[in-house]
Order: sequence, then C-alpha cells, then structure tokens
Amino acid sequence: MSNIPDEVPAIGTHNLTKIYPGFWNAAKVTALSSLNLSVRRGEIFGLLGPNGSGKTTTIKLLLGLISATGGTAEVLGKPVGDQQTRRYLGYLPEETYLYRFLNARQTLDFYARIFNFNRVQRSRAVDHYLDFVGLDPAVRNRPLRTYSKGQARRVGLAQALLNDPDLVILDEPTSGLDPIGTLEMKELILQLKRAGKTVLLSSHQLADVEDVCDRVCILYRGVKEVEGTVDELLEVKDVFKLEARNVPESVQQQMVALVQQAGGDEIRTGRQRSRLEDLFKRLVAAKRSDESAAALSAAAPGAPGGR
Amino acid sequence: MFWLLAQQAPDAAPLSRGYDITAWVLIGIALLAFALTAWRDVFHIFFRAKDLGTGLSRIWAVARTAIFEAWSARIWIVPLLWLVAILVINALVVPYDEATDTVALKAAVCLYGQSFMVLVVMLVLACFSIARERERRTIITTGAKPLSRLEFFLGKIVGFSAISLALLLFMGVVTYGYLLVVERNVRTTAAEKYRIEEEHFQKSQRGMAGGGGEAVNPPSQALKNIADSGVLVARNLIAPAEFQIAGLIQHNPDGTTVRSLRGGASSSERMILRFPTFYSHGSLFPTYHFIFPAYTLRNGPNPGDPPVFAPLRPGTKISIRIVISPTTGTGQERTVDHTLEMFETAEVPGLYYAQYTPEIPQLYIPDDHPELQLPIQVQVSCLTSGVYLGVWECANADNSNVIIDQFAPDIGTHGYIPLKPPQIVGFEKYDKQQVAGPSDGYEPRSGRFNDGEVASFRFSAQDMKRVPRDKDQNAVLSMYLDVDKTSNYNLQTLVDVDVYNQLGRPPTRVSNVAVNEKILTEVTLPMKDVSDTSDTFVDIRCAIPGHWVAVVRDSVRFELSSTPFLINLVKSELVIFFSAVLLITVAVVASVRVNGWVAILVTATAYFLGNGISQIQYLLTSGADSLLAPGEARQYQSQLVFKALGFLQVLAIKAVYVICLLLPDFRLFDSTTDILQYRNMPWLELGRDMLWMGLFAIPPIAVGYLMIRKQELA
Repeated sequence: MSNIPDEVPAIGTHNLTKIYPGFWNAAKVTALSSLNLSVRRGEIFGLLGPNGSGKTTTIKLLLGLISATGGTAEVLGKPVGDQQTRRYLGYLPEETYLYRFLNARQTLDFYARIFNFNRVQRSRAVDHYLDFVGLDPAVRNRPLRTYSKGQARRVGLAQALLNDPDLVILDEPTSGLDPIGTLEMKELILQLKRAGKTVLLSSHQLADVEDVCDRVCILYRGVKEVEGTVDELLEVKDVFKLEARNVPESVQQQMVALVQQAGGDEIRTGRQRSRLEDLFKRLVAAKRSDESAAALSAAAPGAPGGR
Repeated sequence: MFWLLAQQAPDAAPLSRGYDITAWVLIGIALLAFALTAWRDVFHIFFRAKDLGTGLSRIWAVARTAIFEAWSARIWIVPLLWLVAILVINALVVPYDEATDTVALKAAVCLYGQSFMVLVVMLVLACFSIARERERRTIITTGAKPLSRLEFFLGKIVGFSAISLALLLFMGVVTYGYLLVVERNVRTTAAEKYRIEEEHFQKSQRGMAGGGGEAVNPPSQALKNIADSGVLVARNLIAPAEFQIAGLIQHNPDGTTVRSLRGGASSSERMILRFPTFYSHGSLFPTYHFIFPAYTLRNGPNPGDPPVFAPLRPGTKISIRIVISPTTGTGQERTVDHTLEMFETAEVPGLYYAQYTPEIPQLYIPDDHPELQLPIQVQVSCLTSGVYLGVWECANADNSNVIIDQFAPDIGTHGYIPLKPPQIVGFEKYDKQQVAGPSDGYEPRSGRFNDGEVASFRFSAQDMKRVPRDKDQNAVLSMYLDVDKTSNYNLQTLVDVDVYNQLGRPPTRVSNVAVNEKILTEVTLPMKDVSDTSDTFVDIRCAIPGHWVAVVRDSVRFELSSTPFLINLVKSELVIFFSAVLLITVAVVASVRVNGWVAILVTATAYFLGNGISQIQYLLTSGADSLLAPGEARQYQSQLVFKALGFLQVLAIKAVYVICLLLPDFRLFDSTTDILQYRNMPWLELGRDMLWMGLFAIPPIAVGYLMIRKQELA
C-alpha cells in the first residue's frame, strides 16, 4: 500500500488537454479539452462516452503513456509518469496487449519481476491471480497466441491486479467477455471497492457502469458534459415508483384510481419483468450447480467409476 | 577518454581537427542532454527505490522477455545453419600448406561464419523488437508498469546480447570440437609424411654409404613438431615495437638514431619522405633540394670493432635516384623518376647537394576545393657503391634531407609558401622488407665489418621485463625469416645477431646463426650486459654475400610459454560478442522511432560506415577524382551549376565523415588475425576491445534515450 493520505484524491486533473498535431494534410485533433476531474480514494468512478470522446486518451495521459498538450494531472498525489507511483497502479487496456509468445505464467512472471517480487512472491502471485481470474489451469502453460479472447482478457486482468494496486484503471473491462465473464468482472470490481481500492472504469456498457459505479463522468468529443453520483444523475424527481408482490387485482385498480384522483398522470401498470442478465445468471448458476453435484457423486466411494 | 581512443584508432589520417571537434561537440551535446534528462532513471537503475528495488532486476526482466521472443522466433536454427555452412565451406577451402595452415584456416572460417550469422540475426531481431512492441501495442501494457524507458531500452540490449553470447558459446564449443578432429587428422598425416621422409632419407644414406644412391634432404623437423605437439597452439610473442632497415643504424645514448643509406646497386634501401599538405590552391611549381652528408665506412681499429666513418675521396661523384609522386589518388599522372648528380658544397666539406625542378606543374588544386590534402611523396636511393648518405631526423623544415621550394604564382606576388617538415615514412625497397647481405668477398670470419644492411628491431623496456631469462641471464630469441639467394647458392644462409640497449655498452653479438626458409630459428642471447630498464635493440645482419633475409615486424620476437588454444578461442568469441553488442545497441536505438525494415537499413548503414571510415577519409584526403575531377573540370569551373554540385558533393562527403566519427568503429574488433597466426590474443587487447565496446555504446544509448524519453507509446 502506498503511504498517501486518504484525503489526497486518487486522480486529479486540472485543465488537462491533449491535442494530436496534424502533419501534412492531416488536421489537428483535440482529443481532450480542459478536463477537470477528481476521483476520490476508494470509489468506483465511471468514465463514459461514445467512441472518440477521449476516454482512452484520458487514461493514457494518467498513465504517462502520452504527454499532455496542456494542463496537469496527478495520480495518487504525484505527477503522472512517476515511476514509483506506477508501483501502485494496475491497468487493463481496452484490448489485451500482451506478448503472444509467452504463456500465462511467463507473462505474469515478467510483470512480477518488474514489481521486484522475489522468487517465492512471484510464484505465489502468479498462481493466486490466475486462480482469481479463473483461467483454466490446462491452458496456463500454452502461449497466449493460442488463447481465446476471453482467456487472454483474464490474463490481462491478472497482470493488472498482480501488484495489489491502490488504483485500478480498467479500460472496457468487459470487452470480449461472455455474460458470465461480464458478471464476474462486475463482481470483481465490487470486490476491489470492498478491499478499499480505487477503480477508474471506462466502458461503453452503460448497464455495467450503472451497476458498479459510485460516480460517473460523461465525455463528449473531449469535453466533460456531466459528472456526479449515479443516483443523482439517474434520479427522475417527478416520477413515483412502487413495487409489491401478491397484490390482488382489485386493490391494484383501487390504487390506480386513487393516484388518478390525486392528479397523477402517465400512469403505467403491469407485471414486473426480470432482466435478461438475471435470467442468464440464474440458468447458468443452476447448470453449474448440477454439474458440480454430478461430479461429486461420480467421485464418491461406491459410485460407478469412483473409488 | 574518447579523444585518447581516437588517437589510438588505426589509420588515423592527417585530417583537419575540425571534423573531430564537430563530432566531439555533437557527442558532447548528446551526452550532456542525456545526463540532464536521464539522471533520475540512471540513479534508479543502481539504487533501490521504495518498494521497487533496483532497476537491474527490471532490466533483466525485459531481457528475459527478449530471450523468450528470440526463442519463439526459432533462434536455435542459427547454429544449425552455421554448422552446415562451415562444413560445406571448409570442405571447399584448400589450404596452401595442409600441415600448418589447415587448422588456422578452418578456425578462421568458423569464426567468420559465427560473426556473420550472429550479426545478421541480431540485426534483424533487435531492429524488429521495439518496432513490433509498438505495432502490437504490448509497449502500452509494459509502459504502464514501474519501468523507466531507459530500463526498457537497456533490457532489450541486454536480452539480445545474452542471446548472442549463448549462440557464440554454443558455436564456440562446436568449433573447438571440430578443430580437435581436424587437428587430429593433421597430426596423423604429418606423422605419416615424416615417417615416409625418414625412411626415404635412411635409405638414401645407406645407399650413399654403399657408394651409390642419391642425396635427399633429411626429414622435415616441422612435420615432426606438428606430429608431436600438434598445431592447436596459441603462442605468446613479445614482438618489437618497431623496426627499420638501413645501411647502418646507430642508436645513441641520448635517444637519437643515426641512419645511413647504403649506396650501390645491391642496396635495397630507399628513403621515403612524405610532405604533408601545405598548399591550398592553384598550381605548384616546386624546386626540390637534396642535401646529404656523405661518407664511407672503414674497419674499426681491432677485429670485431664497429666500423668507423671516413670521408670520401675528393671529387667523388654521387648519383641519387629520386622518385617523386606528387598527387597520388587524383589521377594526375605526374610522377617523376629521375637520376641526379650531387656535388660537394664548398661551405661544408662532406655535405653534398643537388636540386631538381620538374618541367611540369607538380600539383593542381582547384580554388573551390582547398580542403584537398594531397601529400607529395619523395623517394631517394643512392646509386654509388661504397657511399653512405646520412639521414637527418626531420625536426623542422630546414633540418631535412629534402626541401621543397614552393613557388606558386597563382597565389600572390611573391608566391612562396612557408614549409612544413616532411615525415620519414620508412626505408624499404619496393615494399619488401629485405636485408641484403654484405658485398662480394666478405668472409664472416675475416674481421672486416659487415657492410651489408641491418634490420634493427626495438623492443620496449616494458615488454622486455616479461622476457624470461635463465640463471645465466640468457634469453631465447625466435626468428622466423624468409631467405632469398642471388648468388652463393650452395652456402647456408647465416645471420649475425646483435643485442644492446642505449646504456652505452657494446653490443653482444651472436654470429653465424643458420637460418632456413620459414623455419623457426631459436637463438640464445647472452643478456647479462643488457638491462631491461631501457628499450632493447636487436640488429639482424645477413652474413653471406648474395643472400637476403626478408623480415616483417614480428619476424624477430621473444616467445613466452603458449596459452591453451581454447582460451584464445574464447577470446576471439568475446571479440565477436563485443561487436555484436555494439551492433545490437545501434539496432535497438534505430528501432526506437522507425519500423523494423527502416531500422535494419539504418543499422546496416551504420555498420558499413563504421567499417568504412578509411574509405571516406580517403575520399576527403585524396580528392576523389571521380567526384571532383580537379584537372579535367577546370574548364567548367566558372559555371554555377558545376560549383553548386561540387559544393554539395564535398558537403555530403564531409557530413558522411562526421557521421562516421559519431558511429562505433567496428574495424577495431578483430577476432581472427591472432588465430590465423596461431598467436595468443593478449588480455590487454581483449580488455581494450571491451573498453571500446563500452565507450562506443554510450553515445547511441544516450541518443536512443533522448528519442524514446518523450515518445508517445500509444
């Protein structure tokens, strides 16, 4: 853990600007314009926006991968690019940019060496995080070029968490993941929050952001359009909502009538629908539970094929 | 330090210091910028940062990845390809002398092959590595970690260097095994040949004892040596620092040397002087003045005494032959070959003088190319038998045997230009370093002084301290001489060996040492009176009239106990490794900003320029007639286009030369010469190569860091 006081924001930017210079016939592109941002310690902060809005540019500026045209930025209380500060950062790029000739273990071992882990620490961390991201042990010694996109993504996530970072920057973390993987990723982000980590999340998947983020910022063409907590931003103040189970039809009608009498309009009633995500989650969970039970019974003494 | 290294670089040319200064200024700027911007990163490499450790572990992490990358690129194929290549080439190469040359030749082929394969493969791997990281964007993930760009950059260099070391190690082991097999065959063949020769000789002896038969040579001891000791050796030689040949050479206690040119048709000597550039433009109409003290030699008062100078008979006519080559390299054929008569000056008896003015201008330098440096070379030999011409050290322009009056009407009213002293290049005959025997009639035991030539070898005092002496203070001198005969064919060639130093004691002589063509001759020198506190001189004189011995600098040397061949092979491998590291450094630097193919082009160009600086120097100093055509182009001189083109050409050559000075000098890394000569590479030389590697790598690393420091990785 870094020794940075809690009151110091995890990320702070002041008029951060990035303009890509034009060359020959190419015009200048303003990727980010005077961004002022403050991400508090321990929160999950969502960075939203359409393609080309400046999300990834912001992240690269914060990591020191590119240099700002104007303004300043601080990460964990230090100017961006500080080598020692990066010790406490984890970064998952939008695509999995890893060495294709290394296998999962070698990949994590490489990054663990950069963090100056000793042999024992490396060995423990590699196994722990590969288990943590749920990478199939059977593929761990195969080169990454043979991995599916989801498998590679898991290795990418493992490298981002390898150093137990204080600040985790996740750029499109659910990109390339199946729904279960997406759910697991969201759960993992919440776990990070529970562990006191700060998460900066950039995503197109608005539902994902809504589910996990404490605060969000929406960028459009490099300009911050809005920033605040999810509840603040999504609250519709003049709409009343009531949910209840086992209410008789007649009472429902009475309640509608009551609302009409009170002057309420645009009244909508109907049955509650669960989300497709919830349905998928329930089905897969049930299926996995069955598979586990079958496997346990097959391995039990006396069972056919068992010992 | 760099300046010192530049002074030691081979073939240092008498070029303007401006080039060096420009190069050093550029290097200095790069190093200063590096120091100002990289100090924090450099500090973190060696000193532990909180929770991070030192940068060395991070450098090694990147290096390991580079090794994995090379392995995945099937680097292991390289040694296999090399093995096939050297087996094929060695099967096709036929040595001149199977007994002595086979192992050296095959070893050299193996080393050349290793050098070629390693350099080419490392060139490709190193040039594509960072470029591929950018293309595949892996540099984004790595760049977000606590890894400075300097560490990343150095990690790549270390990784590819480690691969080249592993490749060389493997190929070196294979080379050694292969050479063991080859040597075994050579020894077996030599033993068989020796046995046959001995049988033949014994048979001949028996036949001659019986009154018949035919005389044959005894069996070759060289074959026996090869059969007994093998040829996988690495000899340690203490070679002379310099040597020279003249009619008479006297090394005085004050450190000066008196040299004399011996006259006569049998003399092999000619004095060669080179006048450096002293003339900036226009035509040159010089007059050459030749001034020599002339004398003859007589026997000393007692038999064995050194000869004494004696004046010539009054009225002696002395002829000298002069060959003047004024504008070498420009295609202006104005060489003069002339015979002059000298006459004794009235003012100074014994001093002889002649002058010569060529009928045509000796030199033409266009006005717009004053940078051309066209030395004039003058050779003088004495044609009169029994006459010795004294040679002066060229301390200044007036104290020279040859002086040029430089009358150049183009440049002003008086037309005379201040002189610079010439430089004595050497004493030789047609590039053969031959020591002629004495005049006809000389008898080694006659007591008369040997009036033949002398080759004088100077061994430095520092080296002489390493020469082992026995309890009687004797040291063993080894001579490897070529022998030639123009008369007295039936006589064995004998040489006299004098050893002395400048402390004033008379030379110790070993007379009548038998020498044979290309056979190592060992002479035990009594060194009791020769201290090792000052330079030691060994003079070799041929004692048989009509015989010559040909020498090169290390024909006469002291041999120490040999070093195992394996160690010498390892040293050669290390020299290849050093050059590979330098190439990798340049390649990694080149690939920082451009794609792999462009990086290969840049690195290959740097390598060839680093090897070809002599050629660029030659273009600058000789004028390069094809580029500048000073003679033929005069008529076009007034045309603006011609002037502009000429200016651009010269500018381009100058720029390329400065670039060459900025690049590592790859010529310095010589891995095969010692192996080819069965000589041990001194540790000092290896250390020097390592130092060069380290120093030459610093400027490219500085430049690479400055390029990658602010580079946008994404």
